[in-house]
Amino acid sequence: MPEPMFAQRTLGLFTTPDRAEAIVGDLLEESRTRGRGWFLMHAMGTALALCLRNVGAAPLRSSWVAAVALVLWLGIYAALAAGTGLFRYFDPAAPASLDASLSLAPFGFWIRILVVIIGANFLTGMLITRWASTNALTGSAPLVVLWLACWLAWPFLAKFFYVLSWYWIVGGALVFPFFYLLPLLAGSALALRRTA
Amino acid sequence: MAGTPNLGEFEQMVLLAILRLKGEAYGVSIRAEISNRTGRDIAPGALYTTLERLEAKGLLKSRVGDPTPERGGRAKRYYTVSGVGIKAIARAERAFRRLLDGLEIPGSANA
Repeated sequence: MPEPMFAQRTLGLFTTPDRAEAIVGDLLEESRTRGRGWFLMHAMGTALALCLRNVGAAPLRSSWVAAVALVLWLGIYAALAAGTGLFRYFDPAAPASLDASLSLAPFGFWIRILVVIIGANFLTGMLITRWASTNALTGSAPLVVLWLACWLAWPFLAKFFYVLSWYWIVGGALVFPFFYLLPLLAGSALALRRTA
Repeated sequence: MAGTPNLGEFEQMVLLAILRLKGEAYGVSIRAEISNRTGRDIAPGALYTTLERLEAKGLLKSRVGDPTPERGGRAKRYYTVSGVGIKAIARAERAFRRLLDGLEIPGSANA
């Protein structure tokens, strides 16, 4: 998907389609002298700013939607993990054993965990958007903010709770947007397209 | 003047830039006007969230223009200040003048 269309789809999750189109047009006009990097950086920055405004404009409702989204995500995650047999690879009750489990994990583990994490986020994005989107709030916006907070907290959580080695911490931080945020936004975009 | 919302500093700048642009105010021109007049390079994200907020408060109105090729065939969204917006700016200006009245600030035009 070309960058302007990707940017327009992403912005369209947090504002109306005609506004998203105008914003991308403005950014394209300015990027002729500033370059593609500038365009992408500010398109994503604007999407984040609109997402935060979306949540900040209705804080109580956003908190409620975030709580429901989290419960939904945990439910889907647990169902997919049980369905794919993921739990047999490590003991969730003993988080400190995760480092050894990851180091010894076979290829099948990585396939399963990809399916579980990406699937849980995609389905949560779809369901929460269909259930909670209003004119003032995109349903997935509160969970996006929650995931961004988790992303920031990940190094501390990984170091002190899971007791992971540094390469798992760095690797986890690098892949987090692709495993959590992108599938969530893709599910949300699909739901918005279907309801449009 | 009950019912006229209070304005933050950035909101005042955006409204004044739109007034100065006289019907030609859209994202790019508003950012350029603010940058030229104040020397502040504002992030697009900050501008678009402020424009949405001001429109939601009824201080701005917007209309969609025609698509242009240099924007990949995408239309501009033009902004104008509403009557409530004009009242809010006038109120902010009066408050500012009252606060400045009788003050001598070194380095300012009034000093």
